[in-house]
Amino acid sequence: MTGRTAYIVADNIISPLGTDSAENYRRVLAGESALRLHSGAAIGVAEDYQASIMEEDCLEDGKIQGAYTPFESRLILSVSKALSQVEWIDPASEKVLFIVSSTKGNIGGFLGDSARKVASAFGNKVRPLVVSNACISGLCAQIEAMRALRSSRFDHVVVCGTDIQSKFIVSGFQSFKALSGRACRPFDSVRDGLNLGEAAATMIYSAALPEGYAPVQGRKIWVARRGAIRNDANHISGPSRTGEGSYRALRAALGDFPVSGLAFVNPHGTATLYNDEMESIAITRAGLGAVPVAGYKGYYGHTMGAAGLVETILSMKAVENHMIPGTRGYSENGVSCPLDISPSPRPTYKDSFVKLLSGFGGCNAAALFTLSDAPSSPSWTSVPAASDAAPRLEYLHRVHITPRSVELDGVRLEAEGMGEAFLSDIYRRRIGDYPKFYKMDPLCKLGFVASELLASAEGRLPEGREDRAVILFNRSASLADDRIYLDTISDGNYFPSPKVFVYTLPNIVTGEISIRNKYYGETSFYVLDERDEDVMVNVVRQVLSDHGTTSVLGGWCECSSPDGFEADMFICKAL
Amino acid sequence: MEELKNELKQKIINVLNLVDLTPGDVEDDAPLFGDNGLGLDSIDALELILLMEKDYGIKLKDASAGKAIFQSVNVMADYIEKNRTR
Repeated sequence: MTGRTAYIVADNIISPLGTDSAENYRRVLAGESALRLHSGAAIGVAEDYQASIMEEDCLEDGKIQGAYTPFESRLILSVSKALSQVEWIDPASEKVLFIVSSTKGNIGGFLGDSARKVASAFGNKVRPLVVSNACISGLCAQIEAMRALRSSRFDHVVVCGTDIQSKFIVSGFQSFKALSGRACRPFDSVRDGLNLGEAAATMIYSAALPEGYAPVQGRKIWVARRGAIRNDANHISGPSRTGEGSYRALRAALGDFPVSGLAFVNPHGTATLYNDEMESIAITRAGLGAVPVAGYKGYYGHTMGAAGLVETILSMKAVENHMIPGTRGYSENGVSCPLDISPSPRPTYKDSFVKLLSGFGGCNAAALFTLSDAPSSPSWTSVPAASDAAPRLEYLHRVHITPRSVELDGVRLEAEGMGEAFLSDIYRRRIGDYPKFYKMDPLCKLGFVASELLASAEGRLPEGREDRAVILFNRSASLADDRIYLDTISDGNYFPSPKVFVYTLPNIVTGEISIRNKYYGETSFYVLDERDEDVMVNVVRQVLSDHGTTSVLGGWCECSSPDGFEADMFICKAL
Repeated sequence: MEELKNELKQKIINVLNLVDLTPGDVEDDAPLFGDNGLGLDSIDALELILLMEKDYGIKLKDASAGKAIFQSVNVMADYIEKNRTR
């Protein structure tokens, strides 16, 4: 990747283990964990659950004034702590972008509106991005930050993430039988599930440093070198048995970087049977089987939208302090490709690490970070947006679907009915060979039908492509499905449905499209506070700056209710 | 038993949105999972666990316990007959 360098200039973690990154690292290194057994009855779920939950006193210092939800105020608190480290950045500047990473956000609220409130709290008026890519959101948000800086559209990016554990999320993971009743045991032979956790975290990315700026001891600064997102194209909840997407993301993120330069790999390591097994295969396939591996889920549980940030920051501290935390909960190898994992801390004198995440929807992300010498010459060079470095787009096909009409490349197609029945009629007339369609939620049905029409206009391409990305946007995230799921967990009639829960992750639609077409490329779902062509076009252009990506199936895919939706999607490539 | 099997087939079709099938299409001893049967997957298995709990009062704590029970409609009906609490 040519162009500007993406530096990391400030960070913050707020969790039950502390309210800044250094304190969190210190307590992790000392083996502390906030995982506790919590009463299921207290939040209205069937069973007690082991989790790391933020009590109000974690947030006491610096309570946020104003009409904010807990989701928003946690983000604002974390961002303000990170921004206080870089007073030379004016968060209100139009050259500063806010990106929020969240798996579920405010249930029942609009994620884009929350992101806008967070940005506004700092006087920022640029439309913020929300990445809602299930469990990999925190790395996707960072990858988008790297691209936004390299394209020169922005000088600084504030990346923040959080999720709040609730009846909604806990019941959903319980319905998946994915939770362990004990503190989780990543990669261990007796691991039996994950724990949920809460944290809020922020990373500030910059491409425009003041002269002589070197935030890390020894005149050093963190560089985010490269990141990649790839899909398993296999199943919407089960990880690939061959570690396909994770392996491909890892390979793309590493490029020609020498394995011998890696201090360690920080995996997702949730401690579910299938995730850890999959990652052991992916890491080994990528040639990293001998590199030390250290995971943090045993300290924090799975903090969802915050995880990619929390775990990247802890890994940065590990390299800076030459000490890799132990993998809490690990004792004996329990995966088919044994990795170099230690339950206790280990020294390192290398300066790079790789972070991995995987999530529902078959998505996987990997990113490579290096602690580098700070630049000696000033890089305080703000570039005007006109010289934007990302490629221009050429649109190949377009489809537009509303509850009563469908147009492909400007030609109206015949179909009957209204709303969800209209989508089913298009399916019967034009597709018909994919009964899984009937299992999908309305958002997936909409995106799936639109993608099938685009694929038919294009002529089916050979399967197994890694160069086709699927990038969708909307306003309502999975609001329509959230309502359906809430009906399955009402107090009088509590039967949480795993198939409904999985569709409450908006990015599942990108996974469904990848599975159908065997697209191994990048998949991402963004939530905006309103439809904005400029923002969508710029994100898609930046996706095309990924070395492995040559075309994008993407666009607007909004579904606010089973009969209220609009898809305006396209296939495009770099001009 | 025949009645329970037919009831079960209809429930499986409804719960798992197998829109193109009728109870007559599901053989009593055909495998439910894998490519030779109905092609159900891991989420379907979890939904069947929920169905057992909701409609027959049978609680399966462990997802892997389903494997043995959801082999076919025959095996499933047999298990329900022996263990149902409603």
